[in-house]
Amino acid sequence: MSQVLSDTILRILDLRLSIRRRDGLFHAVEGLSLRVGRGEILGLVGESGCGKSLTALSVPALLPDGVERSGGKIIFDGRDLFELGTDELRSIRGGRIGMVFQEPMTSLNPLQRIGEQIEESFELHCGLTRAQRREACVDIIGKVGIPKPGLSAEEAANYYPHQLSGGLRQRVMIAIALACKPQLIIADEPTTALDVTIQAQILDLLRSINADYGCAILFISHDLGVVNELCDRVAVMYAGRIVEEGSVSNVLIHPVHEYTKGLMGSLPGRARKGQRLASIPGRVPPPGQRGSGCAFAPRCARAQNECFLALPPKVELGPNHAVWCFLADVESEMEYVRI
Amino acid sequence: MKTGIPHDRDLRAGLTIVALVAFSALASLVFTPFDPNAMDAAHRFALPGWPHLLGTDNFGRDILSRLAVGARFSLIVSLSTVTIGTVFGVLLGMPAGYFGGVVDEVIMRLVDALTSFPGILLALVAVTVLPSGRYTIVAALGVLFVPSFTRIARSGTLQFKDSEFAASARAFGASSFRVMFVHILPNIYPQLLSAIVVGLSNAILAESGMSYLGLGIQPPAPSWGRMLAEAQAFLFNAPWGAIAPGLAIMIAVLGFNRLGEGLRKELGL
Repeated sequence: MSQVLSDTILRILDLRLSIRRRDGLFHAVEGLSLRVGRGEILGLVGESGCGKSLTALSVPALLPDGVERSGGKIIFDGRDLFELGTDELRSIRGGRIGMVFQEPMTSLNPLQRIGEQIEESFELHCGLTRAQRREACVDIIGKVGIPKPGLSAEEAANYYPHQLSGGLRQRVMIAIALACKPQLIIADEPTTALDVTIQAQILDLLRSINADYGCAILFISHDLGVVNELCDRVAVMYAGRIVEEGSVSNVLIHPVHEYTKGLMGSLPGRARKGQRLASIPGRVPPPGQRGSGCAFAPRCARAQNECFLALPPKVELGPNHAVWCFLADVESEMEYVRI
Repeated sequence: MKTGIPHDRDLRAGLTIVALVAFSALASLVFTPFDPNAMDAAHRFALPGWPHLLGTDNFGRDILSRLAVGARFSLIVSLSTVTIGTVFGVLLGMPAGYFGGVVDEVIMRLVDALTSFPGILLALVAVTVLPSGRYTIVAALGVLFVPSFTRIARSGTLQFKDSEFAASARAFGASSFRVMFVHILPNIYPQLLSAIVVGLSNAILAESGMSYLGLGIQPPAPSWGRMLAEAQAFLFNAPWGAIAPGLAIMIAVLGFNRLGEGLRKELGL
């Protein structure tokens, strides 16, 4: 490779996504920037409707009809994905970027055996012979932990999706995403539809994949507990923008943005046992109803006049913690960042 | 557990009748009571009885034998017709539904244009312009079946194109062609299947109509429609000559109709 390998696998620069509706163009994502390092697990957190799923879909250029990119760049492994042709994009999808979706119950073709669906990925990207594909498929079924006593990997490959539970289906999805050893897996709320014990197993699996294959994971979630457990770094998103970003220990233990604080405060925890859970008043403004200032200002307890007038600047609190807020006081926050 | 015998009455009745028609068509390949085209002036207009179970026509030909051979032609023509309709319908309808926009508009307006012609007129023109023969009738009728299958394929594709499994197929790098024909097509197969079976009953009727007008299979090969037309002149002297093919058409159409209806229910549509 002529290109110097950087330590960044995915860089999103000033991404703008617009939803085209009959009554106009709405900006769902407004100038979002992100960086995912090689082998890193980045959590992207936010409420429903803040644009995190669209951001995820925009990476492999799989935006639904009616949503378009109106600006910005998505640079994957040194190349702008929006400048690639369809064929190149297709070889990147599944080949170098794997996707895991939220709904394991419906994300598999109900009429194909799971083995065939996993093999399809090999067929499209790896150019193996039929026998090699079969072998690789059985191998990966074993790796993602589908076999159990009484169900060998070979037998599992012959199952149809409806014969598997949600957790196992999500493992199949992960196997498909993982098949061609991608450099990045985008997981869009992969555990939301699963119950808690299965959630923990899937998180373990993602963690071990990350360790064994060294593939980076962009983990999209609204669950801060899960993010805390799994991710190296976290970016908190609100109304189409990042509001706070940094290492998990910095952001989740010492949140600076009022929104992150609110999210943390609304988590149930042992320390606040017996008390009512705090909630953030109001709701996320839908695209098209956001003012010119900080999108969170109308719900923010500490909002000042300036918050409503202009976008807050990025405040670097340290090498691994940044916040977009007028109220962030660099001096007072500096101490813990060095931890 | 599923047993071999379907529970649904329509399905049972349809299967029985279709099996009967198919059996007589197949049996006519190896055995018919008489040569279907052999004329026998001594036994013109024989009453149904022995040895001519359904009687003979104005040339003394055995009606039962002609019905059995006619069943074969009816089935061949209607199967080929519906096959053409299905193949082209799927090839046009799936991209229309999948890509939408201009592709959809162009394809569906073409199909609308085709629908706006009276079907039988279009077939008549085709049969008149093209050299006569069984391929012409199949092609002419086949075109008539394209619009309905295009619509079915399109609506099925619309239903599944935004499904999560189609999205995940795209996400692991499948081409549009692959998503359509490997992932979506098997899922709209139930809709297509029941439409195919109902289409068969329409095709049998259409083929009989064309043959009745003398535009189907060329004489002396027997076909239900032409048997009806030939017997018409002697309706009051030898009604059995017209009743037998008429009933055959009715029973075959009824059978495929019931089967299609039964399948529709069985497949939960």
